[in-house]
Amino acid sequence: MASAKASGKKHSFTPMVHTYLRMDNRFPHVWCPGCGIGILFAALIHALHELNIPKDKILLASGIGCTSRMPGYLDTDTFHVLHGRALAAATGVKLARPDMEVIVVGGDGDMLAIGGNHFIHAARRNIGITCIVLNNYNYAMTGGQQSPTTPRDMFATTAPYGTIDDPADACSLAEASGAAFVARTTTYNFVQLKRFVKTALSRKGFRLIEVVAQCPTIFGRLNRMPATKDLITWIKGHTVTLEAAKKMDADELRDKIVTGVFVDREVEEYSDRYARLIKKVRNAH
Amino acid sequence: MRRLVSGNEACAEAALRAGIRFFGGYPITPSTEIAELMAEELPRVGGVFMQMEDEIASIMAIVGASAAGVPSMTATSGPGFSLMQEGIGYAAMTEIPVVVVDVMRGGPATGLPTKGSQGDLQQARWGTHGDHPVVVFAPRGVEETFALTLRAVDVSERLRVPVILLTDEFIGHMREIVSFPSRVEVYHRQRPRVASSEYVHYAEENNYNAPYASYGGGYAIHLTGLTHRADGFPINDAPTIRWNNERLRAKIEDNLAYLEDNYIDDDPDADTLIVAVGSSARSAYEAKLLTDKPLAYIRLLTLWPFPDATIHRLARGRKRVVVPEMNDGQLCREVQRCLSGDTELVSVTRNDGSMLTPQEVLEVL
Amino acid sequence: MKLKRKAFPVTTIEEPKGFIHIYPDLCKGCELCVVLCPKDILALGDDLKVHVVNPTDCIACYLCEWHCPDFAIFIEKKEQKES
Repeated sequence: MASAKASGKKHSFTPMVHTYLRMDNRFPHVWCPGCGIGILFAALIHALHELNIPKDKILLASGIGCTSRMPGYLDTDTFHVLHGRALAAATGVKLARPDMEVIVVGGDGDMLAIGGNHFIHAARRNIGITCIVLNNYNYAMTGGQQSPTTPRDMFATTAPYGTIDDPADACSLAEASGAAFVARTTTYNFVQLKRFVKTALSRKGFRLIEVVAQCPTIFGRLNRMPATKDLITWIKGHTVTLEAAKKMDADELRDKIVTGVFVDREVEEYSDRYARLIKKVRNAH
Repeated sequence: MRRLVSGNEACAEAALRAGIRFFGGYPITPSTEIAELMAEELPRVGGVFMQMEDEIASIMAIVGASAAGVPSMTATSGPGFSLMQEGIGYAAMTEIPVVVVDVMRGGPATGLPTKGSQGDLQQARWGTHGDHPVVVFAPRGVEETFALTLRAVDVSERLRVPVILLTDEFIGHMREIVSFPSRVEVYHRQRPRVASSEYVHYAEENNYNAPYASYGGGYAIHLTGLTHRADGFPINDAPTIRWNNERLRAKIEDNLAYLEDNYIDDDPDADTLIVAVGSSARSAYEAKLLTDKPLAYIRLLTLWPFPDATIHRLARGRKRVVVPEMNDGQLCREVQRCLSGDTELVSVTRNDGSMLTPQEVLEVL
Repeated sequence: MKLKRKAFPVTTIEEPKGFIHIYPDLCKGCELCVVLCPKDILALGDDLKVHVVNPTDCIACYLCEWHCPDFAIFIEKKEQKES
């Protein structure tokens, strides 16, 4: 199979994305071939770039798991915290430095299982954090165990007979907790993914984006979808928009990925409230 | 300026004077008053008080705030202190300065919420997994709670380590007259003097007493709980792992003299040495005053790192060492390590929620 | 912070609509770009890296760049000359 001739003349081009990466001897990065995390990462970088958010104002924090390795590669202040605890640590950063753009990324297990309590309270407080949950339906880093979002009857190393749990819904949980912005998208739809990240970054308060992503090496192989294209096509096939979902009953929706913006409302961000409280207290004296 | 205050009040006041400007905490008897006072006072000085959803969130919030350049602290008691252990280990590994106050109560589990104990002495040292640097101060009363809280903030910022202040319910809730200093010398974290392109977060020269970067300073630093190399990125090769562990150890081992802090009342004619710590030391010293027997006495204000050499020196050539404490012998086992020859070791313990009395110590002298 | 950046070689293929830039050292041969390219102009070579196999059909739609998890393929559109 003849490949095209590389163009002769010198043509200097540096991909914008590369300028945001710490491209040292740790590249190529750690994620498996075909993993969806890199797609989210690129979308996040595009969003940060298009919003002209200064690099030295960015803090990217994460807990533990595949997704959590993302901060290590971003050339800004980065915070690789403990499993499930990124939101609590990021809350401390945001209150110490309200001027910073604080973003937390994490997997479904990190954010909704061990981190669930911090997820609920970060959303309830509407602390100024953009929280991106990369949902690949399992604990991939540790080899493919079931997570709170693993769909019913699908397989994981700790659900060898298929899961009997109903999966958690990060978006409803965030909405119920009071988050200002809640949306779900997938790594298949890059344009929507980038748009939601950009929108979230320009809002105030707690902003959640759930990104359903393919994990071919682990979750895919455990569920008879070993090739890269299998899972991303499965995701595309199970995606329905919010508008379409409104016309579907519970049974039809059972295994569907409903994408769209669920919540988008104005709130006073927590550190702004605290700044107001300080002013009130200091003026009263 | 002299005032009658409780141990918890003295702790909160000292924290504010030492420059603590972020407190993340969770209600737990017998330390809650510290959180309540911080909630009231911090906004007045432009600081932030956060009641978090649990003690895990509390330790992580102060780790985050400190990483972003704001000296931070939490206060708790046994059950919360147990929940904070992984976070304390994270602060040690990432070299983020934080102060954790543990107002000890009867344990384990829910134990004796309203009664004091000294049951967390070993937990303060070994509570979290793995070998790690930690500094633990133990005041004996309200005035010392003030002084050692100041020191805890200072040492944590200078050595970039978590520092634990071990008080207990007796100290926390009793009131004593404290003469508050008019001026307190506050250590301010210094920014690096090199450009970001030259800055290495865990460089040889900035292990302690040196400038280092915080978030938001334009240094694009990376912090991780993974064993890491000098630039902060995870690593798996043995030499670098040894380097990382050695770096953390050196924070303490290079500063043993700086950290050691004892009250010693030696008597060359004494063949018995009393070794004590915290509030139970008051009863031990009272016993010393009540007997006309010559006695040597040492009280540790810095519990960890343990002053092995000093204990060894004071105990050498003496017949007996008496160790009073309010637990089942956690200090005694450390003292035993430092004894040589056939010195007899006498453990005087009380672990029923009541204060150890001078009489109980007198009986063995 | 101090960072020892590494230069990753790039192969640039000129197209009617723009340039395709490929970083072979970053490509892990996951085939996402190959599968998602609407014009089937990409394929994995014997080196299990992405190659442009028939360049003229590229419509510079960015689908390959958008779905590359390894930052290994980029499209640079040519400015449309005002006709």
